[in-house]
Amino acid sequence: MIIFNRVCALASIAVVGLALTACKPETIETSSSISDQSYEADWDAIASWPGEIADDAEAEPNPKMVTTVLVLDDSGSMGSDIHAAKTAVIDTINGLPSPAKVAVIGLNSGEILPTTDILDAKARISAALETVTANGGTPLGGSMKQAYALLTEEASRQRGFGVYRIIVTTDGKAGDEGTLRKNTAYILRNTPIQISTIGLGIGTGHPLNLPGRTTYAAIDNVSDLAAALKAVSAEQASFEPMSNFQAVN
Amino acid sequence: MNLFTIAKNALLSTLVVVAASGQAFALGEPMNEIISADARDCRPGLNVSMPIIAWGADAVTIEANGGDMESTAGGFADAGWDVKLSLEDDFAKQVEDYVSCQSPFLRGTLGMLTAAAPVTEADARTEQVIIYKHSWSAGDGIVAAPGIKKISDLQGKRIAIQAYGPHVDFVSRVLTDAGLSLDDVEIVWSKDLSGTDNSPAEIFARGDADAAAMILPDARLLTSDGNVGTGAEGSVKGATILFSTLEASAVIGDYIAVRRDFFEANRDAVGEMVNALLNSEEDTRQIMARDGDAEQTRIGSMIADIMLGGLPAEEGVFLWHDAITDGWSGNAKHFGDPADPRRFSVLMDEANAALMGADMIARPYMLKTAEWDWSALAHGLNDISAREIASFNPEKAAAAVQRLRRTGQLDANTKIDFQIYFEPDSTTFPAELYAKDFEEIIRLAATYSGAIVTVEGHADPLHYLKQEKAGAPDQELKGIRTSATNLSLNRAISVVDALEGFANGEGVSINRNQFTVDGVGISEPAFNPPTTAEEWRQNMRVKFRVLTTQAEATEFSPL
Repeated sequence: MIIFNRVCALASIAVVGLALTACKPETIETSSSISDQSYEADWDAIASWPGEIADDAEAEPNPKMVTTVLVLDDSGSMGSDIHAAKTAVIDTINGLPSPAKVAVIGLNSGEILPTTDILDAKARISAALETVTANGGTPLGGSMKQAYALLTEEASRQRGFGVYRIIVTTDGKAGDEGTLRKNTAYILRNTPIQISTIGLGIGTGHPLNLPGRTTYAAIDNVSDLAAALKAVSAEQASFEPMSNFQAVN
Repeated sequence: MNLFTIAKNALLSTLVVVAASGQAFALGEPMNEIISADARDCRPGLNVSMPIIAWGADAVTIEANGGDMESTAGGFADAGWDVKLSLEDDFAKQVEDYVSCQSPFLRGTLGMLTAAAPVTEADARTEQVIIYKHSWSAGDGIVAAPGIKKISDLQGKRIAIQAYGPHVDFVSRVLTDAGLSLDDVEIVWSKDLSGTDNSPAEIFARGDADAAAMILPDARLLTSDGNVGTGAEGSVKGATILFSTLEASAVIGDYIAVRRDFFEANRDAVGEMVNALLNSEEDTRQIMARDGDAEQTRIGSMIADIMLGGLPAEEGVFLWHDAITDGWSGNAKHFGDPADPRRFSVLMDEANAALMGADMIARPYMLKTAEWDWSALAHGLNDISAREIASFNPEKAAAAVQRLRRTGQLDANTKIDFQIYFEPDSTTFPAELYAKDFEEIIRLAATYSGAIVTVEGHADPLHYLKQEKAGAPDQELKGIRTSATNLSLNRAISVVDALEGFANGEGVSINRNQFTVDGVGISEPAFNPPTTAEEWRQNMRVKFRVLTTQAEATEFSPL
């Protein structure tokens, strides 16, 4: 099990396709494209994600499994809104249908809930959030890396089948914006992970708002967060097989 | 008297031999053209000679005979028999002794027994009655020269096979399942199975054949211990084991037959002999599963002394494990279960097809069986429950398949493949639509019961291509790809579910762990883009692959 925290615990973690070498900078590094900030999808890389599969990989993965990492903004600027935000996270998890797995990380708290089956997550999330307070900066880039690692680890168990997504809540500018851009680009370029963001009181001018590549919802009040999270978590890309042949023109 | 003397200057592809009569003939000709012994009546009584061959399962016969070739103890003696065993690997000699009733028994694979049919079935007295099935083979293989990766690559190639030996129907079966027949290859007959210049391994090593069917010890030697031959220490550079009975673990069956006249005169006693064999099999199998046990060493030594010219005991243990003995449950199923995909009549049909294809018999034969009431032959046995031939670790099998796909080795490890197609919007697979496909898959899985079978779902890319052409953003295209991949896996799982249900309905049990599901989405369409409705439908398919065993991954473990 990979355990993350905000101190330099990432240094010894190895995930195939990555070299997580140090705490700073917390970019997702590869030997060939470390500085590549292109968002353009690399379809070959996406098809081969997550790379080597785990020793305990599922023999018969559930193709309907949706694995979500919720990134909670627990920066100091959230102030007393953190309580409503935590409630929104609990409501969201309680509303997730099976089959699903969910993890929760805080920008400053690190891992709040490890990747957990939804039924177990519903039982554990309230207690897990109890000690989370609004305190610290907005290191979104590092949290994206952490979310990516959790999903890659889970995907290696699920042999890449299912749906993988990161849902971010944030109320401010990233404190590590360069890292955020690089890590976001890496994820979008090399993985099928879907990224959704809910910007709280910050409008639409956020680096995670990339039309056509990410989903972004702007809300003004924390009281709208629960509904926004529910709406985002309910979204699913669908693929309806064509029932009649129509040639490509 | 040995029927054969080998011509000094053996030809390469058609070995000429000289019969005792002095008449030259070519190996591979029908046996009635090379054996001229007249049928004679058998002496009354249960004092008989009985052939065994150099095969691990024959230890069961020796143990039933008190652990020796001649003995007054053991199950046979307890049943009133006085049996003298003899090691006889020259099958033509066996047939000659059988016809003249030096021994009323024949010992061989079904292919061998069927090859003898033109001789034995010509006289009512010598018609064969199959009384017992010893085992399936997990100890034979086909070795191929560099460049031959799949069975279908054998088309037009020369294959060395022992005439009247155990591999004619083995080669025929795997060729047939790869869409070929014996007519598509050139057979190079050898006189011997192993250990001489006229064995398949030696013919292959000389370069006089592109592939050869042989026992696994020879195959391992030629391929540097089952890898790729280095050219050193007796190996052939670049040679590999193309296929073996580790995968095709229900293809070569070993049997005992008895003359009809003898059987009819001694039916009850023969039944008691079979019961002694069944009890001996149960005891011997349990002993041979206990590594380091003194009794295991004793039997290993016995096998090595009698069959392997005095090699160390561990070689005898290895030879035992090359056989998967049937015991009571295997015999009862093989001879008595009409739903068994590998029942006797199916094997009989395969042997006939193979030998007719090789021009060794002119017409099909249906050898008789004893038609035992198997429940009446269970006395003395402790466990008559069914046994699986092989067990698989499904997680490791899935990891192995994924690794093969990632490294581009999956096609090279696919020995046989088979596809079924489905309706565009189908999520169920009704038996009435797919019964024929399912029957074939069940047959393949049973025949190659030691092999991983992958079930690989594919989706059609047309919807994706249309959206891509229309300029859909990456986010949408990714969503379509993800959904297609999951859809393809879902279909693979649904097919296995439906297959399992169909098998249950037919009274056939399948080992679900043998099937590894996978979904490749739109990454490997048969037609990209599909330009007709037919091509479009052919993209919506599930592909079954029979893989060679990846031992480290599958934990193949004959029981």
